[in-house]
Amino acid sequence: MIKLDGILLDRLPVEGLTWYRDLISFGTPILSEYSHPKGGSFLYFWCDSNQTITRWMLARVSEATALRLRNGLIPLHLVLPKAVEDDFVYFVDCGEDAKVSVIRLLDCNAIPSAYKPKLGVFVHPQPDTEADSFVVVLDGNWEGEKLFEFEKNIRYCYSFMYSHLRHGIPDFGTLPFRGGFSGYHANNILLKEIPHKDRMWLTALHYSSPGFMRFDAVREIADSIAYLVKSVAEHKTGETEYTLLSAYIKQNQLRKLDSLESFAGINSDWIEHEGPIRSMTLDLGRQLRIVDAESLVELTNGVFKAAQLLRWFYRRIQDMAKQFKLKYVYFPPAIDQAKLLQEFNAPMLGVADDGNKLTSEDDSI
Amino acid sequence: MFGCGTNARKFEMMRFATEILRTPFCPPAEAIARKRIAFRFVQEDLDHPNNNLPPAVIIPGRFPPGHPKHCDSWGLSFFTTQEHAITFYSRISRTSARFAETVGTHVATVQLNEHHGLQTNPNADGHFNLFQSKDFELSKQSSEVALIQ
Repeated sequence: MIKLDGILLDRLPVEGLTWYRDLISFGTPILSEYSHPKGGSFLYFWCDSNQTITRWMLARVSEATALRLRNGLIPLHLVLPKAVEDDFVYFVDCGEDAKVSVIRLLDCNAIPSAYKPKLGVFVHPQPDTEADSFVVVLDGNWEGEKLFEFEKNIRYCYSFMYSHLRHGIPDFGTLPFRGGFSGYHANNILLKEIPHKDRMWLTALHYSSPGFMRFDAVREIADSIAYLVKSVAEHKTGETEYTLLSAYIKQNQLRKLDSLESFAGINSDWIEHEGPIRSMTLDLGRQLRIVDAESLVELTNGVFKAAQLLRWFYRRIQDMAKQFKLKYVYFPPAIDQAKLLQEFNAPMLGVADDGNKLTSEDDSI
Repeated sequence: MFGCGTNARKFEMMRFATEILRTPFCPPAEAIARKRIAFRFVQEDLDHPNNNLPPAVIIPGRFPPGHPKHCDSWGLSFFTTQEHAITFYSRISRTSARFAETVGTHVATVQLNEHHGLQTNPNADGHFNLFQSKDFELSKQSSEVALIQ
């Protein structure tokens, strides 16, 4: 056991720490995260042991640092002691039964090198233990507008996914599914069906690099959004189908059909398009796996409505996928990965198609 | 024997049964007796007492203050493949200078069977715990011991 200098303390000045999770362990913890009642995180890091004494380094870190560490975005040696919030750390010696025997306060510069983590150790990301909390880590330089666009996209996709998975897409009535009908209204209609407690709310925003957004949400719904975003980013899932569907709508100027009756089968112009639109919508839905396009078509009471809604949803997933690919955004690991994969049935197959890409459209459906 | 008796019978056969049963949810319900070739970090001398002991016994109380002691500390750590074991070792040994000293510098290939105890499901790192039976002796089940480079 290395002899330490520093100031001996009668008691630990930090009170009320609550164990949050082990970040690294092997039978017993090596690195554990604790939370403080006034906010912020503390790390207990195993430094040394002999037959009777175990020595821990206790250090205060910011919530953003803890989040980066927890998500494997920053190696441990850049946190302990470099990103410690104070100029000092505590060394806590515990005897058998983990009873504290000696406490020292030591200047960060005086920490023996044997007690510092070596280069390049990352924590493997783990699912958040809070089932109703969904924390998205933000990295890079975010302009305010992009940040709020992202926040809006994820909430809108959540509303769609919740409605779709929990009770089916609601009736959009006589609202026209064509230019000018904004995503905002679509989201409001979807939101009406979601119980207040299950809605996705932004509860914290830390605007820095790294920063984070914390949402209250039904975790399995939020996880399914994250899964889709990753799938689109990594495998271009659904890109070909979305492009074909969008190109067809554009080429045939279906958004300009000037009456609602056009979509109800009265207008003969529509009849020739119904089959292709249905087929392409189902193709896109099949690629997304978790979206049951057949029931979507049935429940939205119209093929064109289903197509537009699915495109509206996909476009937002695609926007988030771009940010994910650029490593501007990191999602937490799914709480129940096995269940998620089961819902998706099988690993998604990416279909790359660089041609005939449509640019991101406006906020209308 | 493990895998075919009642829970009481299983626990009776277990080493450190009293301590394990005092620990909440221990051993985990998922743990089963099964045959498997597994890999464990060991001290070079296979008869070193630490090789056969769980962390809770090697260093009692090795938990930070306020930590809910968990069941893992009563299990013997194994990996499903040697690659998993070495990958894990190279990562974790860089966290703390004391790691290698505590868990050993070698990896042993161990033939586990249904009589050796209850095994948890391997995690993403290929790691699982064995809640060992009274009969289990690591040195007798190890076929090969290699230095971790």
